Amino acid sequence: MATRERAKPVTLDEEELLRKPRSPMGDAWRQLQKNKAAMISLAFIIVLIVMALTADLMHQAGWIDDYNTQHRGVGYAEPLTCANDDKDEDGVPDPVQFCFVFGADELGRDLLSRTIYGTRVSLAVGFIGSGVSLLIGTVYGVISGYYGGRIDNLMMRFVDFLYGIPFLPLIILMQVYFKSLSNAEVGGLAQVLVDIDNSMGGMFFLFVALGALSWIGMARLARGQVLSYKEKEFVEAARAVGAGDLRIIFIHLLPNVIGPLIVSETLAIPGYIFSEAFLSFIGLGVNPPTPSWGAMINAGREGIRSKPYLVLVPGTALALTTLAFNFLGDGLRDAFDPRLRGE
Amino acid sequence: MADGNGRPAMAGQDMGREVLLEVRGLKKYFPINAGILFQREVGAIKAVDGLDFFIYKGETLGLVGESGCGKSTTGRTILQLYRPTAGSVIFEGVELTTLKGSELRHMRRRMQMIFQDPYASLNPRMTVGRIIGEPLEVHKVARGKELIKRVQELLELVGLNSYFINRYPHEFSGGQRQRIGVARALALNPSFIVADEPISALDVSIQAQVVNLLQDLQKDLGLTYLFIAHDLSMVRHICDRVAVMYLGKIVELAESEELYTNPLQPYTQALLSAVPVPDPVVEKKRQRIILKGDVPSPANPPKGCNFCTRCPVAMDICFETEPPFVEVSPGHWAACHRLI
Amino acid sequence: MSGFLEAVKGVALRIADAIVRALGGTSMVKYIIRRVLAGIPVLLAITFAAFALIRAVPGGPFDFVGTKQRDERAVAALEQQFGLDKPLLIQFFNYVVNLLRGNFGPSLSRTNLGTPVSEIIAMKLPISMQVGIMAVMLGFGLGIPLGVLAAVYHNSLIDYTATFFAVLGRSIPSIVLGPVLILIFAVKLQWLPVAFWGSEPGVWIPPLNVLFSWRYISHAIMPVFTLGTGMSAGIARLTRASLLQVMRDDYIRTARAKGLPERTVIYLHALKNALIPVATIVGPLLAAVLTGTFVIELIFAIPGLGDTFVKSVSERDYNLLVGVTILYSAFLILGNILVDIMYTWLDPRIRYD
Repeated sequence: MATRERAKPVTLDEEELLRKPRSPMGDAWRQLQKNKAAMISLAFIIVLIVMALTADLMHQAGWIDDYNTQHRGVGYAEPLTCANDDKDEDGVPDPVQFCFVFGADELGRDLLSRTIYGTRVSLAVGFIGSGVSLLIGTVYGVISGYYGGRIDNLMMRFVDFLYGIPFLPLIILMQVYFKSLSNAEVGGLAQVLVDIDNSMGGMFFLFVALGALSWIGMARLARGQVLSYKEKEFVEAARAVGAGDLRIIFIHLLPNVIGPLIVSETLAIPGYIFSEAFLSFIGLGVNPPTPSWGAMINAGREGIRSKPYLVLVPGTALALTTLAFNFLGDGLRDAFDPRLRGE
Repeated sequence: MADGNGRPAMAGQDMGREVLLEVRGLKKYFPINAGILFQREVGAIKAVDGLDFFIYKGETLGLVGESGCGKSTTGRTILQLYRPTAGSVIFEGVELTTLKGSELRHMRRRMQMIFQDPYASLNPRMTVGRIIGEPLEVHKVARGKELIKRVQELLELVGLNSYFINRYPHEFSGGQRQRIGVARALALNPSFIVADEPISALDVSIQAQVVNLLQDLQKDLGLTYLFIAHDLSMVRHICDRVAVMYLGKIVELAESEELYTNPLQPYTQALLSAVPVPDPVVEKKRQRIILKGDVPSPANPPKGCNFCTRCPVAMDICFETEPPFVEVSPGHWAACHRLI
Repeated sequence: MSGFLEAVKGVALRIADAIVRALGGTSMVKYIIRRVLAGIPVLLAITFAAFALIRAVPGGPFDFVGTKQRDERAVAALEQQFGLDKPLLIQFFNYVVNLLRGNFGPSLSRTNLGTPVSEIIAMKLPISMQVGIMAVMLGFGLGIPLGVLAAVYHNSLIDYTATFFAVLGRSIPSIVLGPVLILIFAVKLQWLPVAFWGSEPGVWIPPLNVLFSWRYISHAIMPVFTLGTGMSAGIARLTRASLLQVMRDDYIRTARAKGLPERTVIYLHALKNALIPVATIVGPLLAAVLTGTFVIELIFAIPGLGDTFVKSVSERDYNLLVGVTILYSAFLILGNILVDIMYTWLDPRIRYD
């Protein structure tokens, strides 16, 4: 072999050396920050979350009504009208006035307050629905994709099987059944579930019904992601150093596959919110008087000729919320996958 | 020299040298499955189909062949990343093919791999420190400050600045990434490294750097390499001995200089005739042997000699029986009916 | 005579051969048959789920019987007449046997008691189909041009506007858009009727004089727009992404390098390939149409199948509820098979065996 100098270390200038490391997550976040629509949407969603969490506090502070406070004699109050609060029915009008910024419904309930309380249902359905679907779908898809072979084959046949389910008719039937449970004494574990559902205003079974039918797409996506990563050399490298299955799944696969799954779930959130709104719209969603935007829109439809605000106020809230989730989801997708940015 | 299992040494071994790895009758078939609900095996891809060879301690054995000939599978099967269909792999006197779980994991500290694609072989979500430190973490060799210190040493060892410990792979060039891959392979102080085309994905200008690094490390740490490649001139440069693979089998194995100056097997001859010679006089006389046809499918290899369908000098017997892999001259093995 | 039979047989074989080849060869036909067969257990399971679920709900279809209080004897007689007194599994078995003969059983609703469910479906389904098909046409008619425009004027004001409207269209739920349209065009402007549908039930394709009458069009505009905008938004997004991807391909660069006018490059070379992934949206679209018509029919009081389904829930019309669920499930299964077949047609690299 010819004599030669030893391999030299790579030299770099000082500036390059002291530069801060750029993590893929940090890159995605910086990319997202450039997207104005996504950032405004993110801020809007944070405001919604704060509203949902602090609705009771705002009520206690006297800023808004409780969702079921019925002011007497002011059914269908116009926006920007005020009424003397006569809740205590002593015949003497209280000196304190309550002003309906967005008007009141047929029972004299403040529309703004109900809309703010309605945030709780929509966000809960959106987040818990997508969370449940993400969890089940990811676990199912990762197991199926990682272990492959016969297990994968059987698990995916089951998913194909579920793909033949017509979502809406079945969810309607399920909700009819769950609703009938809430009025019945069933006893045992079922009673516990029914009690949970009643205490949540009828949301629990909604989560179950939505979650049970919506994870299949996520499972397919997760499996596809795992398949595309598990043959990568870095997974093989991990195996070569002696890493076990759990380490490979949690340290190597999950962090890589979770991004697209989260993006896809964010984009699915409007779907869950729609589904709840529609089910409440046909009376199969949350139980009255729990305010849900869908139920409020349906209640307002009767009077749309003279009282359009009954539909427009919850309708705008619903549309803005889904809009925000869509903008955020699109932004996240672009940030996570630079190829889609189209540069 | 007898191996740890007390079996007789393979014929042709130099008794004066220590054998680090011995491979006997190694086979790796990948099943072809069909069926929707109940899968059944309908055939097999014979990626590696009966290999016999050994590697001396401290040497570099080159493994060359066309893409798809099974050389990468061989490397992975030796390291038990793929479990072999048949055959035995004896490494440092231990039979690897029957090891499981923690015993196998323990042996993994002694043998490592460097991968072909420096972009795919590093987890993009992990920092360089975590990537290089992972072997130490998995085997609980070091932790905390000690681990960081060891990772920094490894970075310096492969010629990277230890400041890079918190960077992510995407911040590095291909050559730098390959150095990170080398550092990871060295973390557990292995004695044997399978280098699976470690330079073929790099720019030509970078290739020499990485090869030189590998040679320096071999000298300093006493490493043994199985160097898988398809660049014949690079193999000649760095390997002590070279094995040529065709369709899942080794067709010729010899000392580098011997193989390059005196190829015996027709496939090796054809392969070497494609290498340009940096001497205008010789180069002018160089006659290329152009092979006709395609490599047969490893799912359905020909009867007889695997090379018979393309061999320019095939005889009747080549289509009927498989040629044995024999030692033609000391240290020079080949499989061809014409040599018997 | 035998010569004639031979000729007929020959022609039949040739036709069969042509069909097989059009479907992508015998392996493809085998694949399709297998998929259809695999759909049968799915249908059975869904039938049973719907069947058991709706019967588990308290109250039955004949709760209306009796003037002031429930007439138990009359109810029992009716239940016996319609076989509801038997154990669940027997009922299910009888139902499936009837189903195999193409019989969905009689309706159990108060107004249509005894009318075959298949007859009701035959009356209602065409209306739902008309809504759905027109919405899909609007979806493609609006979505593809919007997507092309956004891609061609990539990163310009046109792109941003088109993208913005696409997100908007995707975000406004039909239960909001529907009432808002009604408020504007029916209540305030009084241009369009509030509800119902402009053609007779049971007619798949209305006669031309009906189809182009103002009565039909005015009833169709709002529901079709409400359902179609959401679809067009999805299609526009897909078209844009697909066209942008294709325009970066080498063969488009070659076409440009040849000196072809930009217009030819885009519309002749790029768009043709860009629309391939767009065509595969049919699968999700089918699900969206099935779900969408449900919602739209309720909002606009269109007497279609979704509207009938929701009304049947309170009437506990067991047979209709199960029948419609089976029908939608069959649509979905066939739609999924169709999508898989389309994939192989559009992308020769995909093969099923």
